[in-house]
Amino acid sequence: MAGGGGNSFQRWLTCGSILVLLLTSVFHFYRGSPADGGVYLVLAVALILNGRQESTDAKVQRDRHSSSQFHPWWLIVLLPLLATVAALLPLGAWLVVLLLGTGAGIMILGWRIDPKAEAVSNPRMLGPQHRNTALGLCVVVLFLCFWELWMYFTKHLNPELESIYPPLTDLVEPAFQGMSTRWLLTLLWMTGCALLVVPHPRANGRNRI
Amino acid sequence: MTRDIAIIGYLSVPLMLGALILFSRFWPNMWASPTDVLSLIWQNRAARMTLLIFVWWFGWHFLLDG
Repeated sequence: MAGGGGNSFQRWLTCGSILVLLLTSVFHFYRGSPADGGVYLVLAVALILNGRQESTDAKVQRDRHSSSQFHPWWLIVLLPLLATVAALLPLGAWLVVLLLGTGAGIMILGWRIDPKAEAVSNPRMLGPQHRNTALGLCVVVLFLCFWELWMYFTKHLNPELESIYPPLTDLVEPAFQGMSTRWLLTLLWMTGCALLVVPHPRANGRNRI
Repeated sequence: MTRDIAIIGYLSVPLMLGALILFSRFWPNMWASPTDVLSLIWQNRAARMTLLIFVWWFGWHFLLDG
């Protein structure tokens, strides 16, 4: 994955990711959820447009983040507060605004992560063992996608089979009905999002935990 | 019975991920840890943003449906 191989791997990864976003968008439009489809479509278009100017962008991003120092202690206060508000808000416009705001914040922070700071410096890490694990992860993700699609289409084409072929949403959703479990799952979700995009103070130049 | 099979299908996903983690511990020359692979993928903006939007979408989906 070094040199030219690395470039083709990156191109493959970029094209594959955009294709996944477009397919997900089409599926959400198909299932009658245009808001979800729109979110995926907007990100796909942004990434396509970004691909045209990535080479000049990378230098600007690198310069901007090379000396960033960040102390995420305030997240210990902010995350439970946000989770409490999100769990308590009734379904409606304010909850949508809060979730969209959270999403926008995550996307902006994720977009600004410096790819060079994330680069793997140890050449031992780029070997066939990575290909094996990457293929393993692909198999797991594809299995989950096909399993979910099988449940979805079985339920969609024959609604009386819903209890026999439950999609993942129907299995997890009851946990979001109770206030305490709703709060806990919301806190876990927000913490997961934050851990992905917030720089770690011990990361020594890296921008992610 | 069929519902149980459907649920077992979903439960097998974290089990398979656990197996990949164990493989990387016992046979590191054949299997890299999933964390290492995700770190490689994370360097690519498109892949990173795709992973992030899926993580965010789960919260969006369940909080608005619940």
